[in-house]
Amino acid sequence: MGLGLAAVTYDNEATLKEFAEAQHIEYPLLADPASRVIRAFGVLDPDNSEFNRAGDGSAMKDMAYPGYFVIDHDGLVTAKYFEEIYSDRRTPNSVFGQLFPELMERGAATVRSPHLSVRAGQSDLVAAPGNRVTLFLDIELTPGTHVYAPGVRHYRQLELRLDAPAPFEVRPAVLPASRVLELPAIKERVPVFESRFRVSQDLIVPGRSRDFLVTLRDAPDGARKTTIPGTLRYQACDAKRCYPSAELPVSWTLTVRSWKMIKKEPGE
Amino acid sequence: MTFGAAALGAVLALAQPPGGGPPPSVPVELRGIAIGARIPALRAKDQFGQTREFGSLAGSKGLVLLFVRSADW
Repeated sequence: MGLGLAAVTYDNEATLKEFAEAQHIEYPLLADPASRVIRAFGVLDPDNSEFNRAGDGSAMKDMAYPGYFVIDHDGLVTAKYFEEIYSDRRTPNSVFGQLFPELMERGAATVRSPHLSVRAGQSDLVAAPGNRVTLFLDIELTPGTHVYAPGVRHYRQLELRLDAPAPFEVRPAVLPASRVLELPAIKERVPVFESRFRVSQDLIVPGRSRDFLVTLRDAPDGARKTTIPGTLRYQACDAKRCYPSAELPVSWTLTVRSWKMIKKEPGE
Repeated sequence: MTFGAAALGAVLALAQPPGGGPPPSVPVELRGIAIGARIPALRAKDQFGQTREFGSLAGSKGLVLLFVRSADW
């Protein structure tokens, strides 16, 4: 891909060396114990309460907000990804998937209807609590067919609805830019999708629900497989007619595995 | 100081509670230098003790730079 990868933390070199060896990390982990780089990039978290201090919490402060910058070869920021809550974080695969959509893994199964075929995919097959992963559908319409985009009136617009089990959270669906189709015979201009396009939606794996973390801790191998069902709603038309609105069931399977298990409390 | 940095400084100042209260926070949309901005000097030692700069970290198309809270929880 031609992109380098590096991480910055406020830890010292010794801490990063130990962590990199334990986690088998080979890409550069940069030590910024005085938080100079963190300040310069504008990502200093001003919360220096006890909660926000790692290690023994005695001296270290001024940590970074977690997030990603994408920087081009000339040193200009082309994208950045930060989350409202520190425990919700995009996986690296999700970030790379935003940059290179064609590289995200797609499932083998194709779901077909008379007017379109759908192939589901996701940024990650395995994720950890708090991870933000991207689920998507690659949709291909039969030739000469269109479906309606948001903003249309009198037709059903295409919509992806995820029925993620609580306490999973979902972010709004991301749709591509639509095209305005002129229909002079009926004096209409309608926003449509045609040919091939991708619809994606991000899923937040629960990171703060103790009940969820307990079920994860007590699961065999510390992992839990979850099916995320969804429904694609749309209305298709071709040059001759419009068809009744339709619904297509879709689903994704995600394994959640925690790298650090919560401790048992008395009575558990 | 650029306008963006000044705005961020103001937000940080406002975000500091006079005493007690919830921890300060920067709105997520203001976190980090702006898209389109040139990055500041990037120079730090890696886990192998090597001093690294942008030029030695970037690939032919650039760099994904990840900021992490800590590796020492």
